[in-house]
Amino acid sequence: MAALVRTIWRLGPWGSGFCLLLLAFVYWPFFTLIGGAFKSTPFGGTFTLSGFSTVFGNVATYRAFGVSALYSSIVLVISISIGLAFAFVTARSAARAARLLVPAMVLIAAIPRLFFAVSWGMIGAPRSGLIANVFQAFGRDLPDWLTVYSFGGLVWVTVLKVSAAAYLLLLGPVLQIDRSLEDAAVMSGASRGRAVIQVSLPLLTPALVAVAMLMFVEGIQIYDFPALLAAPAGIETLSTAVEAYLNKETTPQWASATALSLVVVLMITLLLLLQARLVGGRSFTSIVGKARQTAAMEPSRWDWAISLAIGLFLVLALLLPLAQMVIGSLQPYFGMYGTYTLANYKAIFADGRQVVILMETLAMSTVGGLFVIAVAFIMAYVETRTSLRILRLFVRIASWVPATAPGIVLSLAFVWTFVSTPGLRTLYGSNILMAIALVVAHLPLAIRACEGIVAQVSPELEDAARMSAARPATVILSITARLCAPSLAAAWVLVSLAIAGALDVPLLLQSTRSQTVATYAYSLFNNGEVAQAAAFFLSYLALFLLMVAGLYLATRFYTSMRNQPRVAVASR
Amino acid sequence: MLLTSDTPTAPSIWISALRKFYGDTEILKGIDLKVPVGTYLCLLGPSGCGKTTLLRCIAGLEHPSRGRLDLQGRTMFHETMPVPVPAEKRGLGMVFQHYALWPHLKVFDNIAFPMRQKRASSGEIETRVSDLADLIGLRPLLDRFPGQLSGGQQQRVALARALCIEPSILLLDEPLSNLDSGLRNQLRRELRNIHDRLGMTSVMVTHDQDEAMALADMIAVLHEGAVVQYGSPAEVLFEPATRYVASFVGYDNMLEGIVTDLAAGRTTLDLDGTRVTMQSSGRFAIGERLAIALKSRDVSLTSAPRGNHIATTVGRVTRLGSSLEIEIRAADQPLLVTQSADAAPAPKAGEHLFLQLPDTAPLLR
Repeated sequence: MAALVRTIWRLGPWGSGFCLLLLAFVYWPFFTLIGGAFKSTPFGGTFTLSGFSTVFGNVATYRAFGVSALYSSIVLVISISIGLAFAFVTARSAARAARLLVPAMVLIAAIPRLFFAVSWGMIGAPRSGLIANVFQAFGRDLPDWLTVYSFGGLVWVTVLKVSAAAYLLLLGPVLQIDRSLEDAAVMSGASRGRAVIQVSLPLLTPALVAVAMLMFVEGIQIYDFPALLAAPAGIETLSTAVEAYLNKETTPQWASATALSLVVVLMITLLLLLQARLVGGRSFTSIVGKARQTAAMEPSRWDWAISLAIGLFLVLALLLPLAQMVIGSLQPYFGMYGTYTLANYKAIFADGRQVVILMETLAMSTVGGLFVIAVAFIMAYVETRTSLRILRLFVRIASWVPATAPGIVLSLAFVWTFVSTPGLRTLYGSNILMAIALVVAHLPLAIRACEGIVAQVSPELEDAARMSAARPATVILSITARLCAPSLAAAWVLVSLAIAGALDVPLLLQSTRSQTVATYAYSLFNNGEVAQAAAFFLSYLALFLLMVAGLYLATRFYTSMRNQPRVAVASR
Repeated sequence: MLLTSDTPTAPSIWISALRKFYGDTEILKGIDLKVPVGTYLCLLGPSGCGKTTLLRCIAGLEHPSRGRLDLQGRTMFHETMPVPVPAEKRGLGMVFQHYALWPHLKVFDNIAFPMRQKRASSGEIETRVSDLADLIGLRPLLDRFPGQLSGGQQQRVALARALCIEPSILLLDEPLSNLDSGLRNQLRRELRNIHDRLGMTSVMVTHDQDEAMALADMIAVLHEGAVVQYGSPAEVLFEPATRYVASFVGYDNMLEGIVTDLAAGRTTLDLDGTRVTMQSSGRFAIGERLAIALKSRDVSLTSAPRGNHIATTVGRVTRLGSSLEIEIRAADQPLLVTQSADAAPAPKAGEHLFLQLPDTAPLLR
């Protein structure tokens, strides 16, 4: 008790307030989720174990486990192979197209999953889709096994999207490998290919294991792809199963949904702990030697093949989905090729409700994104700099807790929290609740990014500010945050996009008062108004990019004004 | 612009029984130091001896685990205090090893930063920064960013920033170690000049004994977290307190012997049969084992015995540029002698010569 008082004393009002915030919005929802698994409904329910007995007594649960595990495993194997291969191309190949990889992969990773799902849902649709039309041009029907609404289609679309993430995660470790180690193998008589397999791959094992574990967890959490592509074919994964208990039954099965959620959270927690154990606190990059100065790459006779592979991948994962979205949004009715119109866009801006959703999502994602980055930055800062061991642990756990919950589970946890906490109940169904849940859901990724960003600022720069009589808040704001600003701004853009594109988190929290672009586009898509969904999504992206471009130009203008020379001093 | 403390008699820095632990490891093992106002103090020692930790404890960037620290008569840390005075409220200036200039601020704004923290008016800031720019020779650089400066210029900016709020104590963490030797000597002279002109107390961490000898009024030699000698440069250089200090300040030979006779100011030693008498103010006992500390360049070999001497056999002779490094054996102990290559005919291996011992050489337990 005395230790607690002393800790609070050292934290001061701001530090204690921040910890209280984490306790209320990060820790507390998970406690209520645990409690909720033993209650019949959040609305004053009674104690029950029926949730667990239903979940464990249902064959569908085990099938969903199997589907999720199989789906995650196949996706991770294929996308890590693709990501690793392209990472080696970036590091080793002189092929021209290799230079496209980094920007293109960042773009693919940044585009919301829902956008991908909708777009590929259009490309691979049984009768009206692009592929089906190609078949029809040859006078045939799309064979059933080629439809995107299947397990195979689910894996295909997920791999296209997730390979970019695998590439970006593996690029750092691959670039770190000392090429002279491979050269040594070549001088010992091995071929280039054998050198990569026998020398570089073993060196990459820790990084590969770590990335694979993260991707497996991500595969279990993914909601949008299975919801759009697998659910119509009657295939359920763990995250769609949770949702099914609430939305597909005659009355919402709160206890069962929460019990299944808890099982999933426990499973992911175990996986993340195992991952931390395997990585053993080492950073990915510490495993290999000093990188050699990048020598000019030798052209090889396989460069054309490499360029072809890159081109093919970029067409499938980037150009085709983008083109399909644009073309689809211009069709008067999805699948009607040949006539193009702006009617879908006009309809959006003529409908007050849709404009409100666009604007509210823009506000929620940008302001929410700002909150995410601010909180993540503070948490990463505290984690790296504090000398209070208990505080570091508190923040560290808080930074991982939301990562254990799929978005759908997180939103369920927030429903429990907000409905069962008297003062907060009024927020239920409002944009504020939605925004809070979206912020918490995107914290883990942002914190991981901020840890890397904060680590780049030498502590000596902060010490120098403190020795210059700057208070701690001034040190953080005018030195550390200011130096991190460009990276933080980039992270903010990515997080804001992710928030707007998140489908699973708002799904249980939305009401007629609060909807986001993602949930609205999803409902349009599900109601068969596919062309409108595409137009709606593209309108949002255009608005968002316009705003980012405006902010960028404003910042450029501001800095160029500030960097005018101080004529008065210089001339004296 | 003379800076004095409120109570001129109190030491500027008063450290007593200061200890610092990292987990179970004791980094500082009970440091006691009193530094008078206006002193240039060097904390001297090899890396890992705790000198930087001690400096950071004075700065307030780290806090001791035990003991007490007073600066300018104000208690900054005491083991009974609930919260030590934080770094930003101690009113000190500090120059960092890697300069620690903020890359997003121009030189002017880097220097002005401490004054802005004190909400000084822009007029005051302009005057102060331009005074400092003249003092340290930065006038043409004020409009540049730190990334556009050379190492020496960056260190000058760091110094100007540390001096900006006219601190009564200036802390310097190896400020010269990242500069090439010509620049280092120049900046070293400037440091001492500025110290003398502004009259503050300076504490500098260094591992370079020549730098410490040239700059300091007082030197504290640290070894494994403890101050092993605290004295003037001459005391440290000519009367090293321990074998460790002696070897650190350049005594690279230790000739072991046993005390056989003591007289006023004189000590006679037996070196494996040879007797030598040294000047010494130390209090030793007959029969005690002592070492005569010798610098290889302060001893010489002769063919005829003269003064304090001992017979030696020459071993390997190595030519190092303009000097000779001669390995010899005396009193059955290996020793090194360095002499100019062109002064005398070089000794040959196996030759029997006499080693002349300066009778003021320090005697160490």
